[in-house]
Amino acid sequence: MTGKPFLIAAFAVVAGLLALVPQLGSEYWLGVAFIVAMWIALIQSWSLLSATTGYISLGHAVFYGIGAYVLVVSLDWMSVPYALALSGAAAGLLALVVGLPVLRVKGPYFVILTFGFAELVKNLVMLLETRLGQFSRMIFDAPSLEALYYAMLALAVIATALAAWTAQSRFGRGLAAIRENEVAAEAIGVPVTRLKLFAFVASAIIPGIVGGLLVLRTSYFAADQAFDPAVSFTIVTTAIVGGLGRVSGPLLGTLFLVILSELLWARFPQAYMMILGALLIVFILFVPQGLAGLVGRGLKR
Amino acid sequence: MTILDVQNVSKQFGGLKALQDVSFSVDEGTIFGLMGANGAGKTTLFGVIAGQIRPNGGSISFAGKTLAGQRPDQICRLGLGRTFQIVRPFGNLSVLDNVIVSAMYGSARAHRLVDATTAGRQALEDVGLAPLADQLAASLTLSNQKRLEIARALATGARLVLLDEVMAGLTATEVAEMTETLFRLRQERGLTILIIEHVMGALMNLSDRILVLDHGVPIAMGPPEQVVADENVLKVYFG
Ligand SMILES: Nc1ncnc2c1ncn2[C@@H]1O[C@H](COP(=O)(O)OP(=O)(O)O)[C@@H](O)[C@H]1O
Ligand SMILES: [Mg+2]
Repeated sequence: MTGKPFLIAAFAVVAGLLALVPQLGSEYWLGVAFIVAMWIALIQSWSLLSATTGYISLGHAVFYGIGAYVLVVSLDWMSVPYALALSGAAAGLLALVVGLPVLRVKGPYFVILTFGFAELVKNLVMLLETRLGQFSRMIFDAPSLEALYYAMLALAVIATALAAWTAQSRFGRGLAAIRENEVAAEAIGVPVTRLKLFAFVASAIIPGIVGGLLVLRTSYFAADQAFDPAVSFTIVTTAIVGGLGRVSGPLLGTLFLVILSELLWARFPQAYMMILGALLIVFILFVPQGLAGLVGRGLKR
Repeated sequence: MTILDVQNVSKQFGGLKALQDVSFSVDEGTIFGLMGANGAGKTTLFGVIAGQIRPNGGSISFAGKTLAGQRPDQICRLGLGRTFQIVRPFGNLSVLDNVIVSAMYGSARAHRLVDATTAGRQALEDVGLAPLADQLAASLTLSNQKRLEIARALATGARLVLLDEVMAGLTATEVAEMTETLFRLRQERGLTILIIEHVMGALMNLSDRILVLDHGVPIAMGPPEQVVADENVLKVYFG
């Protein structure tokens, strides 16, 4: 109990520092902070489903991708804020529609199914774009990086707050019961299917908006990039490296990832997936509680 | 007053007839025993009542409402709790958290944490698990995990609980204690209990009425002393 105010204060300080980054006046650091906020938003959202219920989604790139696509298409018809809202809504709707069939399977089957579904949607969008004669789309007059950054930071804060609220709520306890034993959860009154679907939809909406923001940042949309499965792999790996089941996990994981990527991947981009795989193996085998677990033990001493 | 009414229930697994035309009813505030050799269909009957298993025929009503087509969570929220013979603890949660979820989602509908904690602690107290409240459920011994099964069913706020071999593995003293506990729960909460038990003596002691199943077929029903004297039962149990 004594840890809670401390944690909230720590999160507030981190958010406050991140909010000050534009004051540095450095395009480089603002870009880095944008990426930091992006991964936090994505991973906290993913955790809402996967860390709580143990249904590991390896297809979250699909929500991010559909958000990006919806944004770039809808910008012709509406202003940026509405287009972003539509990106989130589209991602949530997609989760709602595929959730029922997909959430019927568990464990490795769920992992493979979500991955396969994301690839399917990617290829459908690529096909559609080819048919439409669009190989890539450009965005002109996008908002400033500073504005986009504040929006991304807001998403990161909302996703983190949502994760923190879920952890101690009735909803979160129901999800934990589902993770531990679905049959027993149902027998004590947990509406298992509804809760899982709700968590799935909740975990998809913010990634949809994130996808929209990223397209505005790059001013460029190509389906194979927007739906890049590397995004899904990065989410899962970073979440595990950070530590599942703790709100601080995605923050620490992201910090680690971004530092590593600034140091290494900028120079050796071809090694990205290799390093990701190696990290995943090392953490699953030797640090199953992730960085958050290590820090937690350190603080106790 | 009848709280549970089971009429002509049948269940087949492929070619195996696990339950054949089973009918009985349970009065509120009574303890009803289910007997039968391994594989007689007792656990299957629990699954059918609690909604995990869909019967091939027959009807079940609980507190005047039909249970046909209802999901297990809906049936639980009507006030029917069950335990599992093969225990299903929420292993990575504390013992207390196990019963708190129950109280939050079951018919008790204790949505607020304080209320759920009170209800949960009471249930742990009832089965003697209060001293272990903060331990991980996975770390409990099997007999304590069986107690946790009972506590979780109680914490839902159930008016009727189905107990599936919860005394298996308990010592004679513990069986006597558990018997006391169940009597007390019936007394204090007006709880109705449907119980499967291999420990024959305990079942005789506890039950107001007993139903005996043999290969899915009901072969005797009545008060314990009548059932043990029944020739069909004697034939099945003693050849
Ligand atoms: N899910 C299932 N699929 C196939 N057969 C089953 C299943 N569940 C139980 N059975 C079979 O049904 C019969 C009754 O089992 P059960 O109800 O567990 O008996 P009891 O609890 O009286 O020991 C057994 O022959 C068992 O093998
Ligand atoms: Mg059995």
